[in-house]
Amino acid sequence: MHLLDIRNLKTHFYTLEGVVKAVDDVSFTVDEGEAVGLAGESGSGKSTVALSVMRLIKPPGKVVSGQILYKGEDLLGKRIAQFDDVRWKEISMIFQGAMNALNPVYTVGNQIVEAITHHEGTSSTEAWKTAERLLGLVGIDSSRAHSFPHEFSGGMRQRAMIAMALALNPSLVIADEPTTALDVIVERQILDLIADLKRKLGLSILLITHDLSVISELCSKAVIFYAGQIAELSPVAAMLKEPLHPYTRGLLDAFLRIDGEKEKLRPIAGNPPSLLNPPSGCRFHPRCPYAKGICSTEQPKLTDVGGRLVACHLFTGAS
Amino acid sequence: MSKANVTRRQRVRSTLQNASAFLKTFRRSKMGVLGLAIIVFFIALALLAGPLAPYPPKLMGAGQPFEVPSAEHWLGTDDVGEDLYSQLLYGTRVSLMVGFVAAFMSTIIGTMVGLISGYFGGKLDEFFMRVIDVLIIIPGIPLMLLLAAYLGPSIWNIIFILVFFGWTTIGRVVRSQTLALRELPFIESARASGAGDMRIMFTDLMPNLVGIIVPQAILSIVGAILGEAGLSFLGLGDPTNQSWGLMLYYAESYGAFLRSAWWWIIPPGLCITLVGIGFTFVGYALNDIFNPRLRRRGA
Amino acid sequence: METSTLVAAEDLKKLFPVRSGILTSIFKTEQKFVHAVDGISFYIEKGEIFCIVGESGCGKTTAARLLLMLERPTSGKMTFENRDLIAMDKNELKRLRKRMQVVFQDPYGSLNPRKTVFKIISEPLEIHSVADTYQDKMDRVMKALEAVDITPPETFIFKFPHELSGGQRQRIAVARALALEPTFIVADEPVSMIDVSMRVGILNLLQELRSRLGITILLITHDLAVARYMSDRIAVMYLGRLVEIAPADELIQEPKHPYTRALVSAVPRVSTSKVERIKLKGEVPTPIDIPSGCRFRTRCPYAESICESADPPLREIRPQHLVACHIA
Repeated sequence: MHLLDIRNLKTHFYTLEGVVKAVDDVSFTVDEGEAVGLAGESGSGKSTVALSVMRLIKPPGKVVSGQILYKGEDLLGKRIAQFDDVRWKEISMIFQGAMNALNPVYTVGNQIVEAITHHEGTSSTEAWKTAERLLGLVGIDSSRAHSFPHEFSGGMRQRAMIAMALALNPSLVIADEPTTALDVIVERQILDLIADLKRKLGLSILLITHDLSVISELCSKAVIFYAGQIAELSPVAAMLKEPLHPYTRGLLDAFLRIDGEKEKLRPIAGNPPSLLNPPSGCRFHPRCPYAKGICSTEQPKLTDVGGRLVACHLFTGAS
Repeated sequence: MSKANVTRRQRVRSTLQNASAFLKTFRRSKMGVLGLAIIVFFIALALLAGPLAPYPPKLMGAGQPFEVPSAEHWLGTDDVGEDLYSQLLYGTRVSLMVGFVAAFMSTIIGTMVGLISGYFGGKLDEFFMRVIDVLIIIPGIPLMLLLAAYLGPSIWNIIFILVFFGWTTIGRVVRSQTLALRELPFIESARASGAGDMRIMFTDLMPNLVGIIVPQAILSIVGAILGEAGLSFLGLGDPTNQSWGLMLYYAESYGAFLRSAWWWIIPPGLCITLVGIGFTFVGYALNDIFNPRLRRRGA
Repeated sequence: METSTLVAAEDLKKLFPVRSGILTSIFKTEQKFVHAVDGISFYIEKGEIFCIVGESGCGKTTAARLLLMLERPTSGKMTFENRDLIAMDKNELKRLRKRMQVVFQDPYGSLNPRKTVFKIISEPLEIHSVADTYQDKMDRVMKALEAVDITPPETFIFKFPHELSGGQRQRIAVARALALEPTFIVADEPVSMIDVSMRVGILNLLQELRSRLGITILLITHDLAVARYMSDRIAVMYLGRLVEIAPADELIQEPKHPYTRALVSAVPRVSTSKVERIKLKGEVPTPIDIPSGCRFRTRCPYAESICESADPPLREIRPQHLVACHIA
């Protein structure tokens, strides 16, 4: 059984301008001990998937249909009170812009302790011991537990967020762009930390990012998002060696590397799609160098190609 | 057809598109439409006061004193038999005129001060801010009374007083918006291109301030109309003119309250209120359109 | 100086006074300064793409603003086309601005939201009274739009920024920079706020400007992969100083300064081969209190006693390759 099994998830936003189909029929799984990477550009819907799992979607957004199975149980079917058992205890999240997600008027230690006591009602002393242990786990000296967020550097704040996410010993951690706003050196430290913690604690990770190199370092499976839908789902190594979907190919062709041959890169033509009025048929067709007639009329279904999934008419056998 | 003509036509077309989009959005605001209707109604009254008024407003003995509203005198008469309906109509002119002129001048002064103060900062900014602080701290009404008593009763003195105290709100609002915009990259770009301060203030910053200035200006009209009404009611108004506030002054002085002559008291008060509501609604509606930060969303 | 040099900086410094609170001014402690740029020297050749790379807070953006004379340096010398920038009077500087332009990082903030594309691009023309007639302005604007691959230009001329995507806006920013036909463009993090799939488009465009129009480019970025793709030479900046300058490939493949080596080894890679990671200890010191001697010594895994006492100068250890380190 999969740890996390998302089936046909649809999350829409009902705005004044119209309906934004941020997540439009998305299905994938995360197994125990697995690190899955959700890759896509800004506005592709990947963060919305994470928020849907955590049931943090607020109006005008709404999870329209689909199932989110965690250890076999549908999270969407639970009432809020029941979901509290799952949130943070089983699944926790490291948010985007985590540096600003810490409350500036409470010490870092306090915030971790609060997370612990709120969910588990342990005594304050116990909670503090746990908090200090967690800070140590992420490489922060326990003496800093009584510092305020503004006394921490960006990297340290990110580590504090990670410590908070681990407070209740979850099985699954969702990391939303954990290194996007960080400098190179700090990014390296955080990536190494996440890899280390995954190993030590046997965590399962759902990593959301636009940076393919981060996915290639941490994840074994990649889910490529485009315009609210999955374009390609594949083991990372295979995807990097032989990308199937033209979008994935385009991303890799436009990938800035620090190693390897220095060659002229090619951008993906066109502009990012509007989620309000996505293109008809295959949403990538206006930018695709291989687009055929059918691509503008019919949406390609996810097809199995040697154990990998692709949503492209090049593989659906349509002519 | 040369390229310039093609694009000129496009430019006209795009301007028209923007204008119609704006009107469409405005129409969607029930508050704005209602407010606009009220304003248009009163402006019409003001313009048509002449033909609409059945009697000259200051004609004593047009009717019996303190006549109750009737077919001949729709709003009855005052203590010397002047027709109140005619007075109300002509009063509309003065009240609206003072409102518009005072608000217009306050806006100009407030915008200039706010823009220059916010843009240059430093000691100039400090100076203007202290001036505004002083003007706000001093109790407005007593000072207005003093000034009015000193300067004498004239419509232009009233406008002067209203502007003297009224520009501070817009001044502060424009200044804070200028401060926020000043740091944005597009201003830096203009500077890097070699734009001088004047140019940056008036062609780069100003268009971005219009969205704040226009709603504020509309709202300040309310303050001006109420201010004029207040000053006139207290007896500092211009007796050679007609205004709603003056009507209330005379009503109070000549015993309308004692006699329960409601037809003298309620109509001018009601008009002041309605006009205030009208401009307030339009001001809020414009604020929603120009500054949609807090726009409501559907299901 | 060689005549092929377009821009040169010599011991450029920019110090910002730290605003003291009431208590400090009462006790009259010494005025502290933020050493944003603490003595940098370099030159940029005509037609070159020169990159300053560094983490946030290292002073690279301040350095760019100094070169553009958006800030006055505290001390040091800067020349453009061999003329002293600091000594110039207002009018001469304004004339010079025609030849040096800038593209900023934020495509959403660098265009005036209330102006049409046409007005945005023609503004520099108006400032310098370049085009006389409306037709003339229009022609130049169209030309600039075509140069940045915004086609057909007629459909974009009267659009507002909010109607365009991030990549398109950045292209408009470049078109604006091109309107006056400059010889030098400073690009400050030109793609860091743009989606990945469109970054290469903007970068290729900038490279084209260099190859087709001979425009010299100063690129500021924190992204080493971008620096490698674009630049002829890269300068690494740390805490207000340049610690290494070298041709791009040489810097990435054979970095000499410990900081550069740590940076290069830290970048996430796609290839599976193991990379020797250089681990740095501690955090970046505050630019108000610069460490004595070599400012990098507090984090350097190879620091020795000399590093504490002596500040290493930027020396040429190989042709075109300069390092500021006692050990390298």
